[in-house]
Amino acid sequence: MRSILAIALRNLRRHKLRTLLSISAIIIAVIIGIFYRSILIAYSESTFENFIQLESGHVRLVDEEYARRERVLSLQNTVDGFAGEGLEAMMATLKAEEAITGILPRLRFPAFYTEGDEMEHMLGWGVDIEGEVEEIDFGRHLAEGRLPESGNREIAFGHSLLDELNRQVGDRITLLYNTSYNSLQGSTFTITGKIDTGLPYFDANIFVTPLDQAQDILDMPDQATELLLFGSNRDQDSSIVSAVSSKLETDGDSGRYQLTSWRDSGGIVQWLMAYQRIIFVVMAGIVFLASLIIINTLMMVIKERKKEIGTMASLGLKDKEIVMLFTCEGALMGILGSVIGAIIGGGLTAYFSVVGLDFTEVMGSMGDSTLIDAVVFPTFSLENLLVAMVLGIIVSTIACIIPARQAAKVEPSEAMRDLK
Amino acid sequence: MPLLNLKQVTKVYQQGEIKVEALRGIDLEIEKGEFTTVFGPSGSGKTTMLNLIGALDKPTGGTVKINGDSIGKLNKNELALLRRNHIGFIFQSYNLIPVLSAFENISFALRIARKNSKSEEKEKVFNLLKAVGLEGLENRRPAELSGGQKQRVAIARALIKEPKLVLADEPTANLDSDTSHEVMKIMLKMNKELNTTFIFSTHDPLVMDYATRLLELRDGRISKDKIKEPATN
Repeated sequence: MRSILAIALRNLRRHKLRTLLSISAIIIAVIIGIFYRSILIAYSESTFENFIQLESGHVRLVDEEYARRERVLSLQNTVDGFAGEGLEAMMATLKAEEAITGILPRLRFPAFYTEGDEMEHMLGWGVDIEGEVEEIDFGRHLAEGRLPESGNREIAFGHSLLDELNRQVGDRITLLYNTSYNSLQGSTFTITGKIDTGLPYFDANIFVTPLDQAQDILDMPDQATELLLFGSNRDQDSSIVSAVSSKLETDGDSGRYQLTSWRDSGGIVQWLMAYQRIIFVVMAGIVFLASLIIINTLMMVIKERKKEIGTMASLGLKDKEIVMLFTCEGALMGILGSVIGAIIGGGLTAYFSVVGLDFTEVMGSMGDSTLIDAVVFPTFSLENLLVAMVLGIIVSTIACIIPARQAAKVEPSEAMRDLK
Repeated sequence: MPLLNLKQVTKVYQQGEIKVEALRGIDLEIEKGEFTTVFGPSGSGKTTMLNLIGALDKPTGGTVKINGDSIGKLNKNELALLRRNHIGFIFQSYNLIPVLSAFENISFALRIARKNSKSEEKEKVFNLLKAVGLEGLENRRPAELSGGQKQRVAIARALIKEPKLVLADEPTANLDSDTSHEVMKIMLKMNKELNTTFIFSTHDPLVMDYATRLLELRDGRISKDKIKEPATN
């Protein structure tokens, strides 16, 4: 075996340029694999986090009817406690559950602003400002001014929306909305802050106001449209669902409220989770494409070395040993390419994980209804490098078995061929 | 029991729709220690016969027995083991592995036969290198050796595993007269010292001079089988 390995290693030096080209293909494939997965991981993680923080929590609790007609943002089917005891009491009961570490009530409602013939539609979020800051560090999105305070008719806008409205922090603005009794009303707010989440969807459409103010203007005391429930981490979702489901059954509200884990929320989340599962197949596919160059190189090598293979066979090398020799030759190229690719790919990923990749222009073309951060910071992880490297080695080695088996078909009598 | 026993051996190659009869009923026995030359014009079947005797190919008809084993009944792996343990080859263009040094080319044959420990292997290879006059050249690659030196490495490679049979196909074809004599003398010496059977396929009268038995092939048949005295110098 050692002799075979030594021959394979030395054979690589026989046509240095050809070997270099084959190795380069694997290097490039491994770099692409590492970089691609690191972006996917970063992209998925940021999307999951944004989705959890802004849309679903770890588990989202809404009225069943509200869920069915969510697109119209009905204020008729709200979260108003177990058996109608009120939101505050419900939150106090839920907080006692071990699996739940935080609860964010939200009251979402449509609103609009008119000036002359112009009308700007937007989405209002009545939120527990202190809770949002504590649970999801909402304050980090503040680009200017301060967040609204409960008890005050204050408001903070997404920065694109504020620009669109041609208003500034400190200005006052009157917004129109429908109350829960379906009557058109207007209220004037003081703009205290400008929010920049980095999410075009949020920044162009949404404003936040304290929950008590939203409840007041919409005539919805002690109500919200949804509760976002948080555990110690996002994998606690099933524990939360099971704890709250039992509670709902006990209180006879099991048919009224709907609980949805963040991972069952459909759309981009489930697509990304599925893609994360098949990314290895995609990476293996990329490496296999690169391995075609090694296969081609080995095919040429076998054609050129027919006599040498025949000689080895005449010396008594068995088929499997000839297969091993050529597999080793290809595998060595795969190992070298994979290791170098992992080092370069790791370096590139580490660099971009700090400076980030700006996809602002691409995001622009995708429209504003996405939860993807415009600047992605690829995730550097040794696990990713190791996965790409091992995949590179395994796929290229397996690919080499194809030409290696061709080598074993060379007849030992080829050694005599030139003598006829 | 003869080392080699060929009975009514035929070999037919199919070339498209045409059948080419390379051997047409060969009967032959070769005893251990013989120094035999097979000669004949191109296309007479010399290489085909050598392929069969060397277990590189199987006959179409008849039986080829090497050391009692009928090669027609052996599978590919068993044929490889037969070659590995009992047969040495010397080729016209040496067929050394270019990435291995002279020492490694010789020891490679021993290693795949797994006959010796590393220290024994080293000692055997150095002794044989000395015997073929290549002392001091063990680290040279084939590209750094002359034709004669390469053929000596090839001889050493064929002999290192102490095979029962050595087949040499045109071993002097690429060598000048002096080098050819040197190479033949080495093989004759090995034949005498180790009682190794040598079979040559050649056109070269110099090789025939050294042989103790001459076999002439014509149209796939043995047309002459003659025992003779070898050259003395």
